[in-house]
Amino acid sequence: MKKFSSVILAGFLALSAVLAGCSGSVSETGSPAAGTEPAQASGKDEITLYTIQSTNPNFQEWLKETEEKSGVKINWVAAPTDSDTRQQKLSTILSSGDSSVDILEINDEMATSFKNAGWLEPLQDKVLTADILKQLPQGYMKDMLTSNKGDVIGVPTYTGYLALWVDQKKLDEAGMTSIDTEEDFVNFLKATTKDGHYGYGGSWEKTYVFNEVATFVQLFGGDYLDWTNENSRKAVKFMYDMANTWKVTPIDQIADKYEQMNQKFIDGKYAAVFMWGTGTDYKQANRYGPDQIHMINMPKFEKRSIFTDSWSYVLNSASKNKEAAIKFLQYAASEDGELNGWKNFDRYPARADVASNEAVSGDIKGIYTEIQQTNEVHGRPMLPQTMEFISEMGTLFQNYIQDKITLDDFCKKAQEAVERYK
Amino acid sequence: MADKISRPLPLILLMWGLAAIVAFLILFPLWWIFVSSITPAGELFSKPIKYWPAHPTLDSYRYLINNVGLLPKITDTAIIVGLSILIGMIVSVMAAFSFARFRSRGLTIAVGFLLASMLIPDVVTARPLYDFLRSVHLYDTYTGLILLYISGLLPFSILILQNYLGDIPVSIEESAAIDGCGFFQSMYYVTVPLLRPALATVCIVNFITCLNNFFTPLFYSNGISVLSTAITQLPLRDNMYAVPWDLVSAMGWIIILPIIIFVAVFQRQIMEGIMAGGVKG
Repeated sequence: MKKFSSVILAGFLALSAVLAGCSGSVSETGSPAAGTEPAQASGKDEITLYTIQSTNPNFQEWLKETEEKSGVKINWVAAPTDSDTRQQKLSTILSSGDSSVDILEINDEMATSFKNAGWLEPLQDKVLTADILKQLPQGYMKDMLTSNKGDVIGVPTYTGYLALWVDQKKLDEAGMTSIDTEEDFVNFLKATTKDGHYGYGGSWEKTYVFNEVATFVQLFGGDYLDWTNENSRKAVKFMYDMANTWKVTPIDQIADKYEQMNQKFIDGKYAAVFMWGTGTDYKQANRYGPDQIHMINMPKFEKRSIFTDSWSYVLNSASKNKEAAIKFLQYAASEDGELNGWKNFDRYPARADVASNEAVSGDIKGIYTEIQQTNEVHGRPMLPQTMEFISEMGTLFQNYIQDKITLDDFCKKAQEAVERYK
Repeated sequence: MADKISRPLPLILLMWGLAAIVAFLILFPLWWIFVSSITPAGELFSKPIKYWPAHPTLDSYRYLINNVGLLPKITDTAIIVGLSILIGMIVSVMAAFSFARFRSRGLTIAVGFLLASMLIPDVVTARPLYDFLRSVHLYDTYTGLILLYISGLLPFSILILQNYLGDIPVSIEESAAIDGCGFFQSMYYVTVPLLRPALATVCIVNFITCLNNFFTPLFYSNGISVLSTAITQLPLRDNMYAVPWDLVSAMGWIIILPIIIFVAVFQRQIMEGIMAGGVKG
């Protein structure tokens, strides 16, 4: 019996060994997967790209054109689009010195977390040279993609403003033709607040509200990371007044994310909102257009200022295919690369000179150009532990708006949070 | 039977009412996910709420098949889940048998370690395991994933099977031995058939565990993509905050469907397993 059992056990061990040997893996493209041999082993210019665009219907067309024009063979890996999941995964890849992925596509939160960690290759010498850099939004590049050492670590793939959207019918009803100043803005909100409808709609859920608080702080000329600054205080006081003094925005929106806010905007409950993107939700609901919901320039408070976000290509420092990766990045930063993104992914070019190209057309171009020319364009003020900081600030803001703490308490605690997370 | 007939009508109505409420609580979310999956994106948040879309469409499912690579993901899932359950079951039965039938300090310690491993969260071992898998070239491989899935299934499977085996008299195996059965013949022809209800129960639980396993395929693979992680790869719309709820719902329904089918097919065995365990206790 013992002998027989030993034979069976040995059989299982052999099976395990065989299974362990069958380690050939397949990536999404059928090419050698990440985690095996470096791409250079094939003798060609070849990289592995970690991308969120792989499920876009036009991804294959974008890929084909990119490979043809950059001369680089691209193996791709689908990145999670869910932000928490993606951040965990990318942190592991980068911090472990994993060379299986050469180029990664990261958003602002990740750029903030990674840019000073030494995991990403500087790009200013070979990719983002001075002539290209000057065409990109300076504030954004400085705030978001420049490390403490002054290295530029990412190639932004588009410009996407957190812009002011208004319902033209309500603007007409208010007898106004434009919202150009702080006074116009407040007058418009007051004029359109009636019968259970509000002048301003926000997404004040504790993490989402960060975007709006930071926007108002910018408009008032404050500094989100300095709550001793009088203009920062003015901004949150302004938001408090909107909800509590003038009552031009509902306080129950502290539970709303963008889905809820947009639906209410589409339903006509709000007259104006700050929103990202190019109005896809409004188009889908047949509420988009110059006589309906459309984007307008930011009103001038202390100044005109707007946030942009982007996804950026970054180069993994551990990459073994840096030469090929640089070629890819040079293409991505070029006019051809940006136009490819516009054509296939509707990504509005980040470079001003490319945005002015006649190939970039459509109703969004006019307002984007106006915003670009008249506003300070910044990246959002983030700290390395991005989500923790955002969440804590959001909770403080909600407490202030609900009169649980005073403005002084809010500013004091906000400054403490800044110091803690810095 | 006489008992059933003698039940008063109000009691019967109450029982049916409660059953209907429970069924509604369980089924309504499933219904809502399905409705969302066939609702065009522009109608998803319309008011008043529509419990059936004005323009039902299968576009979300088409999108998943054409752009998200649904079929390769189903194949990957089937390979990994199928092999993990099969191999895991064989190993579990053998381990449970040894733990139930033999006594030694070493075995007791082994059982203790095995059960203690259930208490360790995946995230604690993630980074060292990630480095280890890369160093032995098992990262992003079917083999690596299957081994990890199996290691996750073993403690629970062994625990259940060992308890169940403890209730099966050893004398049955001794009788088989007297009749000339070898060890593995006895296992195959006598013990395993008696374990069938427990095996069915373990099998369904393992199947659900494997299908729901999100952390392992997410963390230890890149190219191999299973259904549970595919839900994180759906495209963002317009901006990074725009979640495509229609696609999320369709993908959710695709992940739920195999579990519903599996439970429907093996419902009798599962109930037998639970009932048998209850009676033996």
